[in-house]
Amino acid sequence: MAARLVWDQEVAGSNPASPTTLAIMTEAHEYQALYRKWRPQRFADVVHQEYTVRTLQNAVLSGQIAHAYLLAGPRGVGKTSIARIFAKAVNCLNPQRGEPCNHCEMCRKITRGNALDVIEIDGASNRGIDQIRQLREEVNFVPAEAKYKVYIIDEVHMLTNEAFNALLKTLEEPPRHVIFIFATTEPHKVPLTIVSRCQAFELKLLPPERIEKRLKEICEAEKIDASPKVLTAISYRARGALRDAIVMLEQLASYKGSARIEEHDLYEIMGLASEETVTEFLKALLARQGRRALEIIADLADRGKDLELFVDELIEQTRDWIIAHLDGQPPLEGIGLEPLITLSTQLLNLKRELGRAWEKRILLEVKALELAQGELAPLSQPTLLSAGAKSSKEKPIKRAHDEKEAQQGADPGSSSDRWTQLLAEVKRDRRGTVHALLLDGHPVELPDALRIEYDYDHTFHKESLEKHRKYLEEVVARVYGVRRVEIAFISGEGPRRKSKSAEIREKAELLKKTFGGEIVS
Amino acid sequence: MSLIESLARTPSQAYLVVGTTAPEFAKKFAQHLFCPKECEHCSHCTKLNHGTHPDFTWVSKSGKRISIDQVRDLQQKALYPPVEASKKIYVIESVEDLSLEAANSLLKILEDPPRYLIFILLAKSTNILPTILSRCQIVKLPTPPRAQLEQILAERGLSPQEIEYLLSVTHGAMPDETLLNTVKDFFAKRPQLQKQLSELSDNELWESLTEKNLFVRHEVTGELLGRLEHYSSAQVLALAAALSKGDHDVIEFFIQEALYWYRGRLTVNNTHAVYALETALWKLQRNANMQLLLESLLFTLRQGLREASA
Repeated sequence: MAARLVWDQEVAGSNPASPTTLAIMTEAHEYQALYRKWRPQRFADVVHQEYTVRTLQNAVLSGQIAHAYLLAGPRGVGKTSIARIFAKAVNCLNPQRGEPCNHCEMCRKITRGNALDVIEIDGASNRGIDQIRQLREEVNFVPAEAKYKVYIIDEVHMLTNEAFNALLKTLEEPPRHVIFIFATTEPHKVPLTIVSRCQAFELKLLPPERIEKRLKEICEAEKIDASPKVLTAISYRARGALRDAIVMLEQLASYKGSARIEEHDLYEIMGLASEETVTEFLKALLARQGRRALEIIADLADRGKDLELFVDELIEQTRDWIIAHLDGQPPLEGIGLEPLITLSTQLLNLKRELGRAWEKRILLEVKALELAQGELAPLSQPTLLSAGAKSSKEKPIKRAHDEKEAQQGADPGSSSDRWTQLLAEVKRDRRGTVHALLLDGHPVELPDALRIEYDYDHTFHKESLEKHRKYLEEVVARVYGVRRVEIAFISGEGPRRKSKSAEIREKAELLKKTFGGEIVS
Repeated sequence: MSLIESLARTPSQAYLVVGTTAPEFAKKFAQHLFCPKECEHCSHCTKLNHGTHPDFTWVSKSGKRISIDQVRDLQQKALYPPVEASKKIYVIESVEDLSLEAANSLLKILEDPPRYLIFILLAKSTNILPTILSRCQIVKLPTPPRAQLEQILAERGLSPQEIEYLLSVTHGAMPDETLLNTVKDFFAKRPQLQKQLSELSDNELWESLTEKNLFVRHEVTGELLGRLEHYSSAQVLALAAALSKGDHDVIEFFIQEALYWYRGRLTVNNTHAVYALETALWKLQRNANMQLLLESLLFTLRQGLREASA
């Protein structure tokens, strides 16, 4: 335990120096990771956690300090920083409206990490019951110099169950001079008995604008020359974590030296495909141009891009498109919401499969091909593809599906679209029976009515559907506008699918071809 | 300026290196940090090359994973400042090998290490604990583009056909010296070998899968997969039985080879063969019943071939 404490202080000792404290620190500093250098030292510097910060600050102001806090939130949003600021704020000799002054003896000691009474414990490394028992003993000693003894236990979710339980009694009624602050990325792993003894705060992911603003400040102070576009790109790619953003910025700065950082540098260093490539690839999939999609994959692989990240990008982009669509601004002409959602689902599946795949490229190619082909579309003949030992650019894919594409395209906003929409509506209403019945029906749109036709094999369906007529009329009105609904047996005209018997005959033919033999009846 | 030089200019506290050449990169980077000239003569360089540098520690798994005890040990030792160099470097060989506890216990020291400490973590992908990811500068090592490889090989005096063949055997990776030296010889004898193979009986062919020479194995697998389409169910079962008695490595090689073979013959109808192969590889690492695994796999493959040629 003794060694642990020394270590914690040693580690924290190398930590300090935000721009605010830089001035007061006299020691010379070696190069230090930007995110540590820019760790906020005052509540006011913490970005986007206003709710948490205000509550804590008011607690300090009014002197109503709870004995245990739990800070939960994703990586890089400020848990450890807030814990350290709070430790300073309660112990500061000259607090300013709930903020630490960062100048007094206490503040400086805590910033440097050698205050005797602020103890930062790495919960993941000291996770056993023995360490907690030791802590329980230590807790009873009054603070050596500060007002409060503050225990910051980081990564607290890694404590063992026994350790948590050993902590319960102390946590419920600790000595007056003790404050516990727990920080964790996975609050669900912390037992409820612990959570209920703490004031819990949920820290939020940062919106890109706030990250970008912070990055601008850093760039100005550190004299990093970065184009505004690259800062925007970084702040989106950081997915809400300020630390991620600062690490990326630092890496780019170190890569470029004093030269100006441009957007393409980011793509290069992260092994990312450019936004245009992502859009082009998705468009190729949606337009069912499998060959184009494969060419893009080949090109990416050739340039050593990370295909897993590429899939992440695809998912993000699709998501953006879906949101744009829901906002009433369809991003692509002629592409409805439905295909985008299907695409998104498929890409998410792919991401999971890629994680454990041995050869990621092949899997991505296969999936691209399937997506470009459309899951449900039956193919008249197999489409040969080129992704052979040679580069996939050379051998062309047969044009079979291009023709099909033309046929489909000839019918814009077609009746089949509306039928699919109708089926989806029914499903959303959780009318499973109706959905099942409709699946075997064929829609015929008449000027004033929608006729749902069944062939004679489906008498049961037709009759059962009659029982749901009232609901059916209602849902048809939603999709097609107000119309009559007819349920009938199939008539001579109108689009018609193969009858069941024809289907069976076809299957039999296929069997015969594969296995030999003859059809008996 | 090389990547290493630009990184070393302002060394960060933690790097995550992703790529197939990550271990070499880590060694090179460490050497550059200790001796910017990479002179190979000074005490830093010699000690690094002999693996005896006191300020350079390579952490790899002991047993199945890197345990929390190893990380705790590392934390203890990291307290002592470097002995000879100005920096102390820890390389964690594979982040994927860290146990969950070990990974979590690395977090704090990764975030606030003593100022002399540099961590270099190596990983196969960035699909790792996000809290680790966000503490590191990520270095992606690109796989060399094909054109560049072709050029290097052409400089070794290989003809375009030989290069094409060699790269198809290594699946686009840089071939090692033995392959480079024997490819000319083998390429000339290839038609003859293919003829011999086609005359082998099934049993003889299956046995040749254990052949040491990579070229021969490549050809054998090709021949075998070519025959698979016409196998009867009994033959498929026999093949599965024969393969499952063999070495783990042989099976793995066969499946990997088949994956590329299928990729060359991909149609929309047999994509499921690729999924089956990938799944089989995954299960292979997880102590699946070998014979059942192979039977189901081979039947799927045969089906894929038949559908493709139908």
